[in-house]
Amino acid sequence: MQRNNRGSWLGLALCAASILTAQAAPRRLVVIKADGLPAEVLDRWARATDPNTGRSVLPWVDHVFRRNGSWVRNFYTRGISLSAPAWSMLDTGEHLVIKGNVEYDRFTLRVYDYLNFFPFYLANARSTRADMPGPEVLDETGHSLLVDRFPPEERYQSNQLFQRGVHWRILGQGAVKRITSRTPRELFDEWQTGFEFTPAVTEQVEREVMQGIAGATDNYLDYYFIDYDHVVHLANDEASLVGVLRKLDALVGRLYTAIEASPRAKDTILVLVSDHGMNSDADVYSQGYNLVQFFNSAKGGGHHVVLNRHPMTEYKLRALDPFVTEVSSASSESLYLAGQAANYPTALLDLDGNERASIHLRNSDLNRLQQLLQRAAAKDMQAGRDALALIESKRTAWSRIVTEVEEERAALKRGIERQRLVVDAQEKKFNRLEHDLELDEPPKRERAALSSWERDYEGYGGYVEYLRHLLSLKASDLQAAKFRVDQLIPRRAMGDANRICDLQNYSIGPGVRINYFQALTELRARNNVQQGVSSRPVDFIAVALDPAGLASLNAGADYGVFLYFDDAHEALLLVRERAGQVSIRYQPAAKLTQDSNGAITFDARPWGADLPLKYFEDPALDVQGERGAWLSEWHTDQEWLSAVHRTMYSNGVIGLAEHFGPTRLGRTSKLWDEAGPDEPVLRRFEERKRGRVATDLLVLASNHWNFNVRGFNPGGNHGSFFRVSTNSTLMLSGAGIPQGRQIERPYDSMSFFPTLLRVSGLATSVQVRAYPGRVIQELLP
Amino acid sequence: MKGCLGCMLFFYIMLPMLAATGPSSPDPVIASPLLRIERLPVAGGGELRTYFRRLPDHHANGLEIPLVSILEDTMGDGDPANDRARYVYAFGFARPTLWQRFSAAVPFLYRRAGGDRRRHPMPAPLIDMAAPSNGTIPKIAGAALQSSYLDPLGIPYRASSRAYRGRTSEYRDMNVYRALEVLRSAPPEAGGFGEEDLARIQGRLVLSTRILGGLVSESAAPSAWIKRRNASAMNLGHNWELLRQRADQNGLEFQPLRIGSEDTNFALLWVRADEPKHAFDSRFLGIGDPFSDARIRDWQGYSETWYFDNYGSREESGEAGAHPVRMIPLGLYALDHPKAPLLMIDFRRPGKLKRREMALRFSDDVATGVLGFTGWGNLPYMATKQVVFLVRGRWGAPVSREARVNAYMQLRQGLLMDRGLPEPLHHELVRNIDRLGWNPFEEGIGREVKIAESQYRALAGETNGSLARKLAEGREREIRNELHSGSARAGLRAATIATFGIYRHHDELTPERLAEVNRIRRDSYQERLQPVLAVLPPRPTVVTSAGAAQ
Repeated sequence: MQRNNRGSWLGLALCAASILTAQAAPRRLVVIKADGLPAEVLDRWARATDPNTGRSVLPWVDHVFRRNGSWVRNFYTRGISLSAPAWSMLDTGEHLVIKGNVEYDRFTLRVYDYLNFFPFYLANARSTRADMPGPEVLDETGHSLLVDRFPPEERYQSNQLFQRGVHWRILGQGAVKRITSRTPRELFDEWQTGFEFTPAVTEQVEREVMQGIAGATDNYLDYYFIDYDHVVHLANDEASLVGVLRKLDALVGRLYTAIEASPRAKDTILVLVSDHGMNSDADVYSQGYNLVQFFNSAKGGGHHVVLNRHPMTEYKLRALDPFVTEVSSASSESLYLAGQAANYPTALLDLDGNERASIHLRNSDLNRLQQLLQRAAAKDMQAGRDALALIESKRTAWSRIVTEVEEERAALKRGIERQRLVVDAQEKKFNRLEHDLELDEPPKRERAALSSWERDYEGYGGYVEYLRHLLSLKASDLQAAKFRVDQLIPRRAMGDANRICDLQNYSIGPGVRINYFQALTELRARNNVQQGVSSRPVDFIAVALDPAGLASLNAGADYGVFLYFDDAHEALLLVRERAGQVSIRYQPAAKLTQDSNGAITFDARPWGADLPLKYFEDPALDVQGERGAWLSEWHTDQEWLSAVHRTMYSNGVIGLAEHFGPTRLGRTSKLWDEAGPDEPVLRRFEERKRGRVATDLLVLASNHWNFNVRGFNPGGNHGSFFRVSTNSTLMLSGAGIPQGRQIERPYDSMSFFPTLLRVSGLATSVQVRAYPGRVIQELLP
Repeated sequence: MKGCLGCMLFFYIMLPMLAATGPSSPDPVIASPLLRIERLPVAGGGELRTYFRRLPDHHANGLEIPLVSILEDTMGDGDPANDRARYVYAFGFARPTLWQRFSAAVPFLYRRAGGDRRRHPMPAPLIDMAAPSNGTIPKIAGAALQSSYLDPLGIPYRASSRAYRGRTSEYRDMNVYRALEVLRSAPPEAGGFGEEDLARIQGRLVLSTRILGGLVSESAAPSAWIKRRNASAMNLGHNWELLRQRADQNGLEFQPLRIGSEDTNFALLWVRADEPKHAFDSRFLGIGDPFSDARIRDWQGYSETWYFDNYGSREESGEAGAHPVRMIPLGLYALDHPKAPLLMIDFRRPGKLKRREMALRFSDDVATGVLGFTGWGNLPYMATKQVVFLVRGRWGAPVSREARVNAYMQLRQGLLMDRGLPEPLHHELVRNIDRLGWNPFEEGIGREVKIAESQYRALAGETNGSLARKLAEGREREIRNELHSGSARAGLRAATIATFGIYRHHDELTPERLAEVNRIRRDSYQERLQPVLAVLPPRPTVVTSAGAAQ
């Protein structure tokens, strides 16, 4: 016993010492965040020789990282290969909270548009917001960013998706220096060869990063490099690709040279990381399929569709409005909602990234209820009775929602009152210096939180009011026609999530139903002129299992995902988490159905080709023994990663589990920190909100297909689980990083954050255990 | 001692040149599947590098067309550090006849004028790479003369002078686009150029179409080409996909084509003769509804037979289950065009495109030539025009004349170079595109080939004559900067202008001076390379373990 105690004390002492050590001398981090940069492409061109110089085509990447640093060659996005979710994981080290580039709340239609800078800049200028939508959501769910690890005076964060505050001087000084940093001769040359204004911002950011590197105070600096993603979406030719890679290489060279010349050269780590890869092939154009038109059409359900940007943006004058976050595409073929697109949109689409579409459909029963009430309003008594029966079947669930949401709103209201006091007590005026030091950002953050909570309070209140009306509807009201459909059916809401059975029998009009699994996977392109590209735009569909469906399987899983390729090629992904360890099992299936009570039945089928993710037939699958046997067993996420990461769909099995996993809230959030007894209720509210943004359908595009409708992305796309899209870049060089090391063991983006904390000395091996990702041990000295 | 040194220098410089003045034996190089490049030695230490295209077999067996020549001053050695591209020639770009000049001055005449240009076979260079700014002052002076002197004289003078100047400049630009298209089709090394050198030539060509482009510095010239090339790559993919999707939505068949290029640069839309009636939206297509068109039902024009399986996928003939379908061409589209594909041929209305172009030009000519609305001279007109262009351009209308002319020249050049199209389709496209010509200086494709041949023969015959002299002149100009001060050079130039070119100053090219030219070039080469080398990391000195750490 005594011995044990002594051991514990020794452990604690070591731990304390290591914490002190870690806190005493943290290393400086300079992070280049390259959007969409695939590891394989960088590798290929870093190895290639430039005939003009006899050196690597990317001499600095070769010098800094390949020869004098470490390269994690099998580094993958965990989840869909999409910027907002991917950066959120890299920047927090936590399981996914954000799962799309735009998210919609099913109850309130609140839009979380993570990519649009313009509304944020305007709101920041008006002092109503401090952060981009991404950090706001992460703050509310209790997760902090890497940049939050450093006090404001020790960090420099460039413009990016998870941006805190706005460096207004970048715009002002950037514009001025775009002119003044060049000789008249250079300006004339640029004018004649094509003047571009965009470099004004990027050049100024680089100047400020350089300034930070030259100083001694900044411990964290980052530079967000967006060009690769932008260029390669549009063009797949080698010249464009090499051009943008050389630009990145030159940036690496300048930053590295500045670090070498800085007083902290010995304790600086330069990092190059990307959020995802890019499916681009010089010989194949990526083909688009317009899902908006499909959902608008009668065969797609005649939906009024909402999306976050105008389709065919470049051809519309109104698309010049940069503040748009919600656009409606009305259907002329709706069977029961003609002309009601503004009040009753029935499909919400997130198409960004383009190799996948995340789709909310209005709850099928809500559609049916509206159709019945419309008929009841026209004195169809049977329809009225059916409507009441339908409401009755929902009574328990809806009553529970009403009760819980009202409880949550009451707690939220108390939170709003507390927050209002905070906001009222804030300093409102800031002088120029304070403004330059961005001291006005925290008050903006408080105001933004208040505004967000008020919005949720109103939004959720509006939704439960509709439910209350529905629950109080009586037969006499229907007989006396004492009701209005638009006062009973929630406007601008999708209602409850659709289950598998709803999506298999989705109501699109009186007596008309559609099976979306079949409808979407049976889509075919007429003009398919490229060899090796399937005429089938949709590869497979993934849908979360609802609790009743999961329970009916009795499989010992915490949650699950249904994957559909066609009726004969389906699968269930079953996921469980024990002591922080995620395990996954893949169950091949066929003809899966769910009855109205939620019970799932399916034909068990053996492993074979053409199952979703196509692991069985993939020659790169690395398992011991018989493939089918191995694939049918439970395995940890690490075991799966080692086995599948080189296959065509790579870590898709883990990505799907991550994407459909539950929301894990952090410990501290402004929302509940000072809420006292309201904390559990407010936590539940936050979980509810995150649950409401989960989509019904995740539709994955076939290889070289995309769902972009804003314009055309023939160059390449990402968003899928293809290896080419999830294989991203991670390279480090500098203080304490092994030289010339190429790490073959696979890791995913959840490892980035704890690894950076370890190599920089910001956290000890004990402290990083609080994060779910593995530290990349090969990078430690 | 000094004399000895002079002799040594003379032999050092001149020996390789003398060696290069031997018999002019062609040195054939296969550049790409599309082109052959011939390198003819030029007396005095240069090379005439000519890009040839072998005509499609169905035109003539083994016949080649010369397309572009570049006169390269190599100083007679094999060192690329002192090489200089001198002149770029586009064969077919010929001195106009008197009749053509007269026709070009006739406002609202939108057709070719014809005439025999073979009497003056020596081609004029498109650009003098040693003095790219040469054309700038005449261009500015011309514009000034036009607005300050000719415009106020009244409609006849204004309209005809503007028509003439516009067509002259457009004719030259057309040939620049043609040369660019040819140079793009071959890898740089095939022509004996470094990537950067060829980009500089292409950049200079691009800049030569802009009034002040000749004044752009040497180091910035390649970026003019790189930006154009990148924009072109984006256009090709964008329009390929736009057209494919529009074909899908409209029940048409999409066929991408590589016409005289390694890139997919054009596309055809077809309709199946057995296609049932389909909703049709002509946006971005610019053609009428084929499903309600009686001409489709009784189609007498060009058609093909394709084979489809029962699911509607195209198959090779002879495949099991494949059935034949008669396909009727609707439109040929250029993909390298901003915003949307450009309809080049409407097979049902062959004259439509010419009328569209004529209408656009007519409205422009009325505004400038007749009404005297001349850009900066009439700000409300210019503002209105810009707004209209912005709105129409945003909707995908082809508002850029430069882009339309470029697409037209790409198609002409492509058809000249193409080997892959079936002969009847090739013939049909040539027949249609030949109708389009609107510039009096232009020639039909057949006549242009003949002009090109005679121009090439004339040029190749001058490898010991005027081309050698041109090399010497270029070197003289280079050394002149070293020998004379800026004011002295201005004086010499003024003397040339004052004597209407009768007096031209010459600096004799002694061996010392040639050595100096050589040194200047090498220094300049190092100077160009310096920024590239300066930002390179140090060469690796330590071999590190690249083994995987598991």
